[in-house]
Amino acid sequence: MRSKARFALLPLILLGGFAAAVFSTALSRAQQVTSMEASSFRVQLETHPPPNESVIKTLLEGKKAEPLSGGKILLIEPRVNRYTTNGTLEVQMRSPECIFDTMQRTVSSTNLLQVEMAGGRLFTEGRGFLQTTNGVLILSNQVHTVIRPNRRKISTP
Amino acid sequence: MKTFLILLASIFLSLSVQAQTELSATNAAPATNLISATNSISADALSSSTNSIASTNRIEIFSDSAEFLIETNIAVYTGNVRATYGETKLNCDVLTLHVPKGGERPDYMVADRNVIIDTKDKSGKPVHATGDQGVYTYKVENGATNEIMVLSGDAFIRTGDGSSLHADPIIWNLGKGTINVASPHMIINQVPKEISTNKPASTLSHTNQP
Repeated sequence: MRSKARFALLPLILLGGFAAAVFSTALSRAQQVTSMEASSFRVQLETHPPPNESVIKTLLEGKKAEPLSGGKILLIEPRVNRYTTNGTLEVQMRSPECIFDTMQRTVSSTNLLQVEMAGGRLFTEGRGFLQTTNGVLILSNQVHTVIRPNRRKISTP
Repeated sequence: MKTFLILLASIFLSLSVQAQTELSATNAAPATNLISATNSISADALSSSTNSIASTNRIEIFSDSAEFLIETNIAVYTGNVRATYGETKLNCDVLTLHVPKGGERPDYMVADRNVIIDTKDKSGKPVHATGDQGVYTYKVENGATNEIMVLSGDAFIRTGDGSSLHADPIIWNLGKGTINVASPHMIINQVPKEISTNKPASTLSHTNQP
């Protein structure tokens, strides 16, 4: 009678053991997720308006990406590239690292940002920045711009 | 027992699917509309931009902060703004400029508050101008370049020969090197010189006249 009862309990004991194993696996997996790091991160921030809605306007790339709390992602060596409707690169922004807010679709950092546009004729750098998806870039400190026009002499009175 | 085995199999199946999903999320970007950036500028190109300070054929702007409206190619520099182009130096509190798409230089600049311009004339003498606002426009029409700076708000200019002018506005044609003004108050700095005349010398005043 006793042995029968033990035999009847065996599946329950096995199930309990398995549940414990699954729980511990899930726990270790959750720990891995908190330190998750992706390489070659890419996400499009904007597309062009119709009729070019299939063409990417702004692309955010990062050498490495690490999720943070609140829907934010830390990007190492990020680049923000803006393209024309025919796919030509018109603006490139580079920084050692930045934070991509996936909810607000903004890119920001306290680090140095370098911006190059018009095929290198216009170069800007500054420390601390915020870029929004409506094409606004704010540089907070130590802004330095270089524009290389054609040589021309200004006449003075 | 059969039920138990089915339960076990389904748990394993769900676990393996979850593992695959997480793996793909770790290694890939969000799945929508990704492209390869084939036109990207190299890191070397950027660093050379920073280091090539030797060239004078360029406009340089420094400021505390700035806002760029990339869609419209407008930049607004704020706080302790200093701009240089060759011998010309501009200081102001706020500088707004527009660089046309594909253009090589700003075609429109507005310098606001405490505007100070220092440059040199053709003979290398210093020219100093101030005002509350300076509006610069650059146009090429029918092959002719039109480059004008309009200074307003207690505008003042001191030219290389030391002459100075208060007017509002002062329209400074940078291409031609001319100035047009409204209601001017001009001070000409004239250095007095020895003037020789035909007046007889005083020693000859007493002669043998009859």
